[in-house]
Amino acid sequence: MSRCEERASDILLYLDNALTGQKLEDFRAHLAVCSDCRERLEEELALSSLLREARPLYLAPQALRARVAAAATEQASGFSPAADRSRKTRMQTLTRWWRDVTQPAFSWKLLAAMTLVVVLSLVFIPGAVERVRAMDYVKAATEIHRSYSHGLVCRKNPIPLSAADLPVCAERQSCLLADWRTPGELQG
Amino acid sequence: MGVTFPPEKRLFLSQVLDEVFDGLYGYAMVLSRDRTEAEDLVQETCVRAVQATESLRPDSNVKSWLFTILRNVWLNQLRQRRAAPKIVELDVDESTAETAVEPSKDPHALYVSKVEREQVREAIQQLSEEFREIIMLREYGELSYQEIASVLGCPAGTVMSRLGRARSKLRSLLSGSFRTPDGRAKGAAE
Repeated sequence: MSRCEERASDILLYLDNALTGQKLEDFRAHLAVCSDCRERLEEELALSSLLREARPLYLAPQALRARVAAAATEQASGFSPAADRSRKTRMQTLTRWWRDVTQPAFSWKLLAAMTLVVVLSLVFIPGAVERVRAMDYVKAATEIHRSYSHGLVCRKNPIPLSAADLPVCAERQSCLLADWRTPGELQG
Repeated sequence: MGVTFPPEKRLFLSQVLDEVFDGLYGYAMVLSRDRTEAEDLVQETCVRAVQATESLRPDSNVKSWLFTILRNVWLNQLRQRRAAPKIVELDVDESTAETAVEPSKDPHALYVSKVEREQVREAIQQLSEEFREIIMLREYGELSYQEIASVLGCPAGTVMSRLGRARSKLRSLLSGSFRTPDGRAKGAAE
């Protein structure tokens, strides 16, 4: 690269008044002795002048300016037809999505049937539980009566058993025969 | 030349937009080579700029920011099309291209100015895309080298060397169309 080619960027900077200080002094000194760079500078100046005279190269249409101003005003006021359309589209999409998701799982007939099952369950299940509990009380009372009749009660087990149940109780609850007492012995 | 961002963001943005509107439109014309597309590009750029006003920092350079938005919008459009830009023959007739009205100039001066403008337009349109772009940003967008580097996403040194080559090519295309400061008709250096 020749010394003058290296100066090409300096010419551009000089045109833009961007050369300062020592660099500007050096460039001026070079111009004084280099006819090639002087000629190049003249050509660049002529081109810059022509380009400047052609400004503005393109004039934006007034209609475009008006459209942009209107769009900016709409946005500043918080309303934009485009944004509004976009919002409506998003809502429609969301509604469609919700319908698609919910329709197969919750048709009205299926929903009615499920509701009926739940209601019946609420009505009948508590009654059944109550009956089971009542049966437990009846059984317990019967056993107490029998144990008193037969005269044996397990000291460890609060549920009195009849004599016929004794082997079963001993096996299942690890009761020892020594643990069984008559009701009189327990009360004493 | 850096433009800083004062508190009245929207008002300031509208002022900067007004200043650079023709520059943006020219840049859009050079990129798209189509009037309708250029108008859409400028409108989209302005709408996005207004939407993003709040995100600007006080030290933001609004001018180069606007050119960067326009360039990104254009590149996005190109990507969406997944094709090279359509080459459209530019119509520079009076019927399609608006002409600057300069009341201070006499009719002859206006005519000369119009002819020169058309010659310059034609010459610029003959440049490669990267040369067209850099000439428009520097000469008609009036961006500094640093601002152009920011818009194009390349080092300032690359901007200078590319601009030098673009000007050299433009000089050769415009040879005979312009005169040196001492009035001599000047041909291309190359």
